[in-house]
Amino acid sequence: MSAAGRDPTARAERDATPQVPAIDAVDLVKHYPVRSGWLRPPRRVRALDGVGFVLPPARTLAVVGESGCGKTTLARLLATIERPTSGTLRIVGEAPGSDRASAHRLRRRVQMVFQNPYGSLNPRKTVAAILDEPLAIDGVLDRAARRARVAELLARVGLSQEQAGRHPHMFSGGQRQRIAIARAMALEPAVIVADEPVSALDVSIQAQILNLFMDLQERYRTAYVFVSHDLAVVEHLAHDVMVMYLGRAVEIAPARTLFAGPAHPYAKALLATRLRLGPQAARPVVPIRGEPPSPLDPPGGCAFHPRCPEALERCRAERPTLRPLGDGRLVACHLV
Amino acid sequence: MAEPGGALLAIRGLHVRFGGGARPLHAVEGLDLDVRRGEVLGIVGESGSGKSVSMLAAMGLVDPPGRVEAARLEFDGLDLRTLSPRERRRRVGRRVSMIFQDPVASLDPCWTVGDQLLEVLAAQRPQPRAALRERALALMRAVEIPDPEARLRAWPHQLSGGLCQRVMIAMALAGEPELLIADEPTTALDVTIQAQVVELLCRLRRERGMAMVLISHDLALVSGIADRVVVMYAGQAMEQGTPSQLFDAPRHPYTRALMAALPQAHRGRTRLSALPGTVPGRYDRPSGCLLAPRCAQAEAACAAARPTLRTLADGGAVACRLVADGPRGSP
Repeated sequence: MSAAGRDPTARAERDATPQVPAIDAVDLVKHYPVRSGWLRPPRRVRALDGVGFVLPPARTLAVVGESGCGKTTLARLLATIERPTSGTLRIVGEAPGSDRASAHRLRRRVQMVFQNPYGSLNPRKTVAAILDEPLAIDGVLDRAARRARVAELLARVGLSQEQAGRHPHMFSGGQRQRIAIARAMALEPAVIVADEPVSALDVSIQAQILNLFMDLQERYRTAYVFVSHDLAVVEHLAHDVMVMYLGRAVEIAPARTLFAGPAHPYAKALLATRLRLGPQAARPVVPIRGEPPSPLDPPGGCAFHPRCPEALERCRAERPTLRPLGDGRLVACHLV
Repeated sequence: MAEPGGALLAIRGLHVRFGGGARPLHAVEGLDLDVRRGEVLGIVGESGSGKSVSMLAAMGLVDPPGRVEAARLEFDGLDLRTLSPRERRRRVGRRVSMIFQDPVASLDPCWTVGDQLLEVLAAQRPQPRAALRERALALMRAVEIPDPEARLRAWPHQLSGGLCQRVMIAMALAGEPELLIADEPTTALDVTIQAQVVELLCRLRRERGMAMVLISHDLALVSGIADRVVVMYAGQAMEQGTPSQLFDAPRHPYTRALMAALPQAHRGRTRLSALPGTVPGRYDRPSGCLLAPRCAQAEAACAAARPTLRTLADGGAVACRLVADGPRGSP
């Protein structure tokens, strides 16, 4: 199941030699137990309920959806911060094992950038120490080589050498996000998982950081999983987009195809909220009434049917699975 | 700038400073602003541009050590600078409401939604509890809260962010205000919920003929709703105009840069035109034009003197010495 692989431009870009995908995820499931009261059996939040995709190198997969749709859980599984309840994950061909050596190897392959640049950097360390840490743990370079590498990283993300001795509190939000990106790039990973990396930043700074992401991808062929709620950012940056609703992918498509005309009713509703600049754009369209249901107690059949304007009897009874539409996209809807 | 005679809220020369010493933080610097009856005024800007603090200051919500000065600060002809807090509450409190970014934090977690809504209503007009309850239910219906009886008994943590914001809007409407100040009212909400809340605000404003100040960092949102827009940067108004003046033909280099930085303005995966550098802080505040260190068009003269907002022939206003069209009217 590869939405990415179906994109003709992706195929054209690909080398003649067969290529190991940066990420190969099959049917990832993550359930969290929730205590529901004293003596009552714990319930399960189905944070992620069977998501899979293939991400080739040097491509960007954006994951969009509203709060509680499981996009952050997916990001944490992909970055191997958490283990899936079931399903298989391969990062550049390797499945995360339980031993330290495997964890060590995976750190060289996948790194994460978080939303909040104020919370994700150790305030007691200097920037040089923050960037040196992954290199020191990796243990390949000696001290002098690491120092040179830290200097190189700083230059690469647009920070000056004299800033290396400063602590995170002396930097603005955008600069801190640059430091976080430099730290993620330190081991030149094949994949960077970025969870809302620009949503805490102002527009003018957001543009700088998005440019940095694109420049780094061009140079190092890094694959990105880019979790975001900002559709304008996603449209600009992504090659492929996965639209999630209540722990499942409802549509996976090349970005251009999706933004030209989404197929799934939820994807349509989500994209209808996009605001255009200018007065003629007038008011936002209200696409759907109501709010997403709780992942503790998801509705039967299609999870979207209680809010879906087009729902039929079948949608209440039977859960749709992802199937190809023929134009490079996968959609989980009975009506498409 | 229009004469403040017809304005509901008239602000002239507003300054807000925090901290003492030789270099206090200048959060708002010489802001002139009018909100006319029944209009939607959008205030856009990045973090630290002074868009929120200017409205807080106008409403008397900046406490010491913050210092507020204004040449003129009037609500419907009433001089807000001379009112005591008690008088302000009595004479202005009901007529102006504010809603904030984080609706969940704006509600007290220790009281039910009903208690909090009834408290607001009782403060405005003491009535028997049954009458207050009726009024609360009517307000909750007006803001389209489903199953209002049950929600009245609910605790804030049992409601979603979208519902909490509807409760805050219901409270804000309780006194039938003439002016609603909405400070990033949808920023904390998901996009589909944001669209619902924005539509609700627009409908309520139309039906009740309220004026609204919409403070937001989201240019696209403001451009679709506002009658007039003010663009702020580092505490100063940089440009002002109708959405079409601003978004179709932005004049100030900052407005232009802000719009060029939006991904919406680009086709395909091209580099975004980012404004270099960062917003000036307390210690590197330029003495000339505030944007000069980041401005691609800046000349030597830009760094020498700070431009003030001047009105142009088409009614728009701009604070940039490089923008042509001779000054008309008072700055």
